[in-house]
Amino acid sequence: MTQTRLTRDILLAALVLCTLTSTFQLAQSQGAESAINQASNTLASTCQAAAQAQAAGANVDGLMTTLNEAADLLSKAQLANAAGDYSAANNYASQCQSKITGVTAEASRLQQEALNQKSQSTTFTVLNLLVSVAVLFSGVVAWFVLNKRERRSTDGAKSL
Amino acid sequence: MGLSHYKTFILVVTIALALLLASPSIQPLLVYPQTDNLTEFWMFGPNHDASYPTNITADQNYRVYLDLTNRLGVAAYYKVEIKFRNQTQSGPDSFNRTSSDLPALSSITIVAADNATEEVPLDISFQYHMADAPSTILHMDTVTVNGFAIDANATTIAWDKDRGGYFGDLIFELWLYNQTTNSFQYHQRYLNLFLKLNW
Repeated sequence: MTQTRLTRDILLAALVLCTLTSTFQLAQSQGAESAINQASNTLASTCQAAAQAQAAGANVDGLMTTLNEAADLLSKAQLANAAGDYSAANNYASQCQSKITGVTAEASRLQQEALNQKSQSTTFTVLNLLVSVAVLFSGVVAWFVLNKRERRSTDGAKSL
Repeated sequence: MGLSHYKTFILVVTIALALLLASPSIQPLLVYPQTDNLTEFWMFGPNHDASYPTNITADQNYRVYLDLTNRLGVAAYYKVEIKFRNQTQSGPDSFNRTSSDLPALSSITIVAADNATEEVPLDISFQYHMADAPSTILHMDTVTVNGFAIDANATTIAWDKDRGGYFGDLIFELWLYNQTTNSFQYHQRYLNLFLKLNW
């Protein structure tokens, strides 16, 4: 009777332990998956910010170096997750997330700087074109004046 | 000899001067030849050349380099899905431009600025065993990528009578992040290593 009860207790304890272990593993796996998704989404939005800055004419070499390091960490997180090493996956995903913190703000700053520079450059272009047109105009006017003077002197010589 | 004798010279000089002065403003208006927006995707073997590992021994490490050049005109966010298939399983299709239906073993992430080239070194080894004799089925256990052993035991490889060996295909599919749909889309490019797994 006692032996049966003992066996039953042991089986029950083993069952509880198995359930707890698998629940813990499942929670760990879901945690790692969620951390990876979050890091991936952040990396995507940061990459978009860098792309916009580059399109505005900013030099994004520094940003891209940081983003590449973050991408490398995310790759490690994905590989660790696929290999079932959820704790390492979580760790790499967190490192990736912290690596790109502030990069979006930096990208926006560079984009704004590039836009300001572009606006200054537009002013310079307009002034430059005005000066060029003025030089061209003065040349044409000089040619007309000289042409007229030449014609007048030729006419004078003929009348004499 | 008055200035009027130099009128043409003066006109030419002023036109040349005006063009010279305007050149910094005209330069941005020049249209340079445009290339198609695309991504170049290629692979190197262990010696950084086109000699690739093909004869595989279990547990031995093989290095390959995945390279891509972004010519999309903007910085891009890619992922490379790593897949392993036997000869009967679905593979990517170059003609229909579709990816393989197989689930990825794992993926790696690459970010590249416009016109930038990125390289990812991968150390890969294969773990497999034979079913008990007289079977001629090779069972995959894991594919280890950069030190992470990824479960591949869903794949079995039958003996290829025609070619005399066990053959598998390691595939690298390129996916591009679409900022509009906020999801990865198959970028219609893949690389593969056709491998003879020796036993």
